[in-house]
Amino acid sequence: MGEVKLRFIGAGGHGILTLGALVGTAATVYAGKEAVMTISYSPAQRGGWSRADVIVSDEPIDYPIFKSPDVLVATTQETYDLESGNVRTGGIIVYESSLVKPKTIEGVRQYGIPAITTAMKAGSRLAANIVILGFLNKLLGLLPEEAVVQAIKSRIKKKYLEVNLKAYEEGKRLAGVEVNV
Amino acid sequence: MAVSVNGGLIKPGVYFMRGNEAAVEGALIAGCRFFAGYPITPSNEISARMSRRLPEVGGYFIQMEDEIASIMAVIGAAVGGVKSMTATSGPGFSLMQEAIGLAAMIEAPIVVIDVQRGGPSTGLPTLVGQGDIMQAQWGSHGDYSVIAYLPNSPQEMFNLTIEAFNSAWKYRVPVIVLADQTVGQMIEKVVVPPLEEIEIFDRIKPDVPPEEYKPYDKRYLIPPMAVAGEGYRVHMTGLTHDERGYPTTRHEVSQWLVRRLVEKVQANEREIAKWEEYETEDAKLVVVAFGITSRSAKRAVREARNRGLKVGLYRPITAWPFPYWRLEELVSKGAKVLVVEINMGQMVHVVREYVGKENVEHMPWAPGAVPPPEVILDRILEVYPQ
Repeated sequence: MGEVKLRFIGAGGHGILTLGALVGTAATVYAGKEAVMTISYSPAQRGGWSRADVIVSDEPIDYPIFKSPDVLVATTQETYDLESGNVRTGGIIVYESSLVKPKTIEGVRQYGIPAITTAMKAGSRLAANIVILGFLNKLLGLLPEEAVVQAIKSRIKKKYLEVNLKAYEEGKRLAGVEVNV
Repeated sequence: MAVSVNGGLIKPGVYFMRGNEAAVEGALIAGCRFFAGYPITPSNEISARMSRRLPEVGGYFIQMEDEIASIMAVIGAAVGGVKSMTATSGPGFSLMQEAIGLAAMIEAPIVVIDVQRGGPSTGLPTLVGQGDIMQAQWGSHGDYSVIAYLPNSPQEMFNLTIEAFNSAWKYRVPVIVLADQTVGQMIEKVVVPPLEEIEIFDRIKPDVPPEEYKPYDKRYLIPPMAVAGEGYRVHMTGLTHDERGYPTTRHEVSQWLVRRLVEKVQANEREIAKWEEYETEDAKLVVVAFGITSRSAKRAVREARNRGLKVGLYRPITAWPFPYWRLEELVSKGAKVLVVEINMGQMVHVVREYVGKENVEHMPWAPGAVPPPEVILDRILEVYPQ
């Protein structure tokens, strides 16, 4: 697989850091891979964005910082506009379709998914990040299914687990039906 | 991003953990049972996790009124026999300097984690810096030695915090873990080995009866340490003192004491100092970089090798004592040195002292960002000996 660089960015409260940590946990703790995550925030103290950059690799990772991701997940228009131009040619963008109006970007595949409404149907809009996780892993085949489920179980509180596992399944299902924009 | 641990010490296994949090788990394994601190970015995950974790292992956490009080409380706990630490960043570390001198003088084993951020002054609270290299050793007045570690990953935040406690108690010196914002706040794989495989050093206790005990017994380079409440008479003062701990102005006592404060580390430097090498054996240019910068430099070195250049990386894991002898050896075989650091020139002075100014190039870098591999590569290409 080599090395995959993923950038997750969205509004505070969208579960961006959890999403990054789940990918990293699944990779390192449950799939025997290497992963590193760095976090940054917008300067605003309220209403700003948060960003998690994750590298997943089969080899030890020397440098954790990158400019151009292979995969971008953006959950708001502001963060989509901020980062969509940085995705490398041949890369992928996944965005929240109810909040983002995409631009045409040459050489980048884009997927708009209704993560929030899908999560609401699963039981909580807070699980939208997990819908994205299911979608992304199904799309990319990044990590073994079992590793991701274990990571969710290890990091999500018991009383929210059922909703989140359902959201994960729904996200996977979306990967089968969503079309390339 | 807290990794939950249900009481007690962390269990052996693989974790995806933040550097600052890994340092806490390392400290607890090392035996740390007291933490006093004052909040400061980007070290806060350490005190936050300590406040939750210390009570779970029977320890104590205090949030103090400032950094001066914090480190004084840590010194007090240490001379009371409890493994103790604090954590801070640049501005707080500056405030702690006078007390670090006190800890050195009374030979209190303390650990300070300094998660370096951009300076000077308030500088860049949320962004990386490596400007505390000199401050770590020379921040207090007078002559003394510290030990300072330079972790470059969450795994090393864990490992080197354990080692910091071992060294502090073995040599009775202040030990600094000189992390940086990126290493402290990044999240990466941390392997916790079986606890019985982790070496823990405890206090050397006096082997004489109380009436024969002298707190700074002249027979030792590092005197055995009694603590208050064990029946031994303990007297500690920041004034220059004799082997009984009593103040004196006699010059021969000053000679004996201050030399020993320096020699405790100097005489043991080959045991204490650590470094890592990458592709140095045939190198015509050796890049010296530490902390997060070493990881960018490693990629630059790899790229230089891909272009057929004989470039290597020498990563000091201790800033103090500096592992100079191996670097001297590489230079004596004909290598030039390029020092890359996130400051305007600190470790470069140490390197020049050992291998000669004419052999050393420098790449200063202002705080706020890690120098990217491609920029380090450009500098490598500029200074590579033809």
